[in-house]
Order: sequence, then C-alpha cells, then structure tokens
Amino acid sequence: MEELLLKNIRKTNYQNISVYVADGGYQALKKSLFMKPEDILNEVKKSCLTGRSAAFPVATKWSLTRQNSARPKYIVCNADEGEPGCFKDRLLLSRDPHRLLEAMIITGYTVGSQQGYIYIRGEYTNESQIVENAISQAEENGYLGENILGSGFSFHIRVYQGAGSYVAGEETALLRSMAGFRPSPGIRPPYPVKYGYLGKPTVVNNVETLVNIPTIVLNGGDWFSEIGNPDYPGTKLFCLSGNVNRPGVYELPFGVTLGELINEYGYGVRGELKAILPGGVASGLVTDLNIKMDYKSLAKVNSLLGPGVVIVMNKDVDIIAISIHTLEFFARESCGKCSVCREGIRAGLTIMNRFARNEAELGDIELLKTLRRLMYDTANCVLGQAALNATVSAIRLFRNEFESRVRNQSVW
Amino acid sequence: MTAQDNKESNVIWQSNVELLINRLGKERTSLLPSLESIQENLGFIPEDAVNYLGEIYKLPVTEIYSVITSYKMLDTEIKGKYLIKICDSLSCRINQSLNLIKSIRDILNIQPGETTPDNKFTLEVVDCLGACDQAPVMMVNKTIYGKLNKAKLKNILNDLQSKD
Repeated sequence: MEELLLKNIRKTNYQNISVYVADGGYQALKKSLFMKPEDILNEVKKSCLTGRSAAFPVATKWSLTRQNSARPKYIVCNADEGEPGCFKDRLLLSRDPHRLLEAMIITGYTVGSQQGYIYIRGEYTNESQIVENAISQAEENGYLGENILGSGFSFHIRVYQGAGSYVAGEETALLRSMAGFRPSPGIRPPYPVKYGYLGKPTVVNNVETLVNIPTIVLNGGDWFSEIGNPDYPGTKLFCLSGNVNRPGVYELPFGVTLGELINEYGYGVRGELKAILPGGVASGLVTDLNIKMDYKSLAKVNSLLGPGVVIVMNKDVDIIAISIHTLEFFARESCGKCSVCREGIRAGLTIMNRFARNEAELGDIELLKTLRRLMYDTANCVLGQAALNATVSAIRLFRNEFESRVRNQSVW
Repeated sequence: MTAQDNKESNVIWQSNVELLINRLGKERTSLLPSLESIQENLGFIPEDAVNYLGEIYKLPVTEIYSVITSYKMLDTEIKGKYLIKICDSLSCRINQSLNLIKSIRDILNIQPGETTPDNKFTLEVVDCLGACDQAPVMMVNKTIYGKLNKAKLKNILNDLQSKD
C-alpha cells in the first residue's frame, strides 16, 4: 500500500528545508493558515485519526484543549521513544523532521497555542541535533516564529531533551520532567488537555500521530478515513525485531496479521517460532500467526498493540528467563512512587527466581496470576498495571515449562 | 585532573549554565537542561555544581539530587573517556547480548558499572537504544554500533584503545 508515514525517509537530504519545500513541504501549513481553525479540527475529526499508542481520538483531544479558556496553551510532541524494541520515531525524526514541525505548527494554529515542545529521549542526541537544525531553518524561512508567512499567527518550537527515563514517556511524567521534577506519573484526571505543562491546557501527541496531520490537511479528512482498516483509518508503523530474518520498521494497515508482517515483510522467523510479543514488553505473549494487529483483536487474546513493537522469539529462547528479564526491566524503571508497582514487581521477581532455580511451589503459578490481577487493578500508571503481562501470558501459553520447574514434592 | 584543569573546566560549565539560564529563564523548567549541560561538559555532575544550581534555583540540594538520580544519563561520579553502553533489552538479549557483555568484561577486565584503572573505559549495561533492527547494539559516547559480534567488538575496542 501507499506509504503515508515513511514516504520521505528514503529521500536524500530531506532534512534540508529547501529539499522539503521543493517536494511540496509546508504546503499544508500554507493551506491551514487560510482555513479557520474549526475547519481544520473538523477535517481531523472526519479523518478519525487516533493516537498511535492509546487509540484516543486526536480531534477530541484537540477540541478539549481548544475549548479551554486558560492561557497559554502548549503543544507537546512525545518523542521519548523508550519502549524496548521501538525504533520508529527515530526514523521519522532523523529523516523527515520538517513534517513533524509542520504538523505541530498546524496543531498550534488549530488549538490556539503559540508554543510547542518536542521531548526527545536522551539517547537520541543526533536526532535532537537534526530537529534543532530543522527548527532554525524553519525560523529563517518564516515557517516558524513570529507572524508565520505574514498570517499574524506566531508559533515557537523548542526541543526538550530527556536524560534516560522509561517512565518519562508516560504523558504526565513527561510533563513533570519538562517542569524540572522527577518524572513520576501523576493521577489522571485531570488530563493534560485541562491541566498539562505548568498546569496549562496541553495537547500531547506522539511523533507518529502528528506526522499524519499535514497529509490530512492537504487531502481532507474523508480521504484519510478511507485508507486502510475502516475501524482504524490510516497506517501503522510496526517495529519488527528479535529472531526474524529482516528486522525493520514496516508501514501497514491496522489489522494486518502477525503472519503477514513476520513472513512477508520480515522474511520469516530465524529458527522455529516460539512466541511473539506483539506490543512490546508490556504486552502479553501470543503464538498464533493469524492474530490481527489491531487494538480489538489483540485485546481479545489478552494482549495489546501498544506502540506497534513486535518482538519475535524462537525455540532457543527460555521463556522463564525472558519473563524475568522483562520484570527486571520494570523493576529498574518503576518510579517507586506507588507501592503496588514498586513492591509488586519485586514480589513477582522473587517468585520467578524460584522458578529459575527449580525451587518453585505449585501454588506460585496462582500467586503470580493473583499478583498480576492486583497490580492491574491498583497500580497508578500503566507501567505497574502491565508489568506482569508477559509473565502471566507465558504461564497461559507454556504452563508445562513452569510446572517442570516446580520443586519435586516427594522430597518432603 | 590538575588544579588548573579543574579551574578551567569549572569556568566552562558555569558559563554554559549561565548562558542557558539567560536563554531559558531561571525557573525550574531549565533545571534539567542545566544538569544535562554540566553532564555534557564534565562527563558527570560534581557536588560543586549541585550546590551552585541549588543557589540559582533556590532549591535544597537533596531536591536536585532527587532529579539527577531519576535519570540514567545523569551521573554523580566521573566516568571513563569512552562510555560503553551495551544494550540488553529484549531484542538485543534474544540476539545474544549476554555473550557480548561477557566479551567486553574479558577484554577490558571490568564489570558493568566499573571503569578501567586508566579511566579510559566505563562499561554500562543499558536498556533499549532504539536500534533494534541492528541488534545486538552498543553505543560508545554518541556513536551506535550495530550487528555486533565478538570479532567486530574486538576491533572497535582495539581502535579505541589505540587512540588516546
């Protein structure tokens, strides 16, 4: 299918504004500045574009921010791509930075904001430099800054560099990080649309979501809504990695099967397939290649799409070791503020380490499931809620591997 | 570091923080950029710098340390000239990152978190570097090295060894 998101990443020198403009760049911004903000909002609404991580309708988020009478308002682009296995935003930031800027300026114009921030993860220093350069070029050419293209509308964008924190990718934690505090998630509601950066109304969208905006403005919301899967229009970037012959970022419609993604695009599993994490380390393992990659289909099999991070594992992978590995990751990255998450992950690790030593009790399997339910119900943010997903799904799919590590009862 | 070096680098980080605060403002929103700037200049954030920021932002130093310690890329201790971050996230783990970590330990004779006695290399095991299609990967200072194996790793480390 036609690429909407990756269409420019193979073009040379696209970071240079003259190349971008010669290829039709900033035309969507020009068009937008002649439109009424409510008309742009209406096109976005018609497009049915949803946020590419939690599937929240973009138009709703924008409209709530727009309606709010508090000033100033902020646009924050979440480019804190910290999810293990996720490497799609890096591609967009480094190869097509002006489109993101164009999208943010249009967003600012639509919701009535004059200041945008791009929060780029600390590890992406080269990408930050590329985006900084793009910002300077856009300012020099009148697309960004005061009185953009003589329209009277002013908008500024600044890069905010993270410093290595997974949980900062959660939107309330991200806003706290920008404000100079520890990046620990707050309690929602109030949502950022009402109480965001410095307590002001804030639109937080990620890179992949925003990059769709210029295309929607140029072609119209109806056009966009016809693309791909009718339930989730547009395309999705899938980051394919692990035991697969051709890892990479692939742009496909929602609802593509895991089999198509892995076999047709990834040229098949390296070795014999054991399991797949279809939505990153916070999702549940699956084994069925006929599963469709969309929010509803994955929810049905107790997993989730998340940011579209697909990690393939072959039969050489020890599922107990992998469960422990993901738990250790969450243990490191838990902000520690809520005790359910902080202690729950540690408890999970204690139990899992008993399996690793072949010293588990039969009741430990149920204990893990109970712990997961408790954390899902009571942890403050999705980190704690999802920390045991991979482990519990491993029990469901590979129960015999857990049972074989239960201590031999007869010794007692 | 000699006393003279120390004085000079002090001047550099301080003037950079001043420039940054002039541009971004004295509010707490510029705290993380200030910390990042010091980290960039010195390779770590010394106690002097924390005290200095405490006065500027009118914050207790404990508050500043609480921010520093929530970020993996901010350090309170000096690191080696080459900071090796080897990724051990799931995609890299599946692609044998543990073998690479073992190789680095063997070659440099340091454990994760340690620095070589000549202060040349520090080894850190980190989470995803966002280059999973090239797994297993490592980052040395700002350069990413992908599709690593033992031989490739040896070459890279040898090259760095021979530089000063």
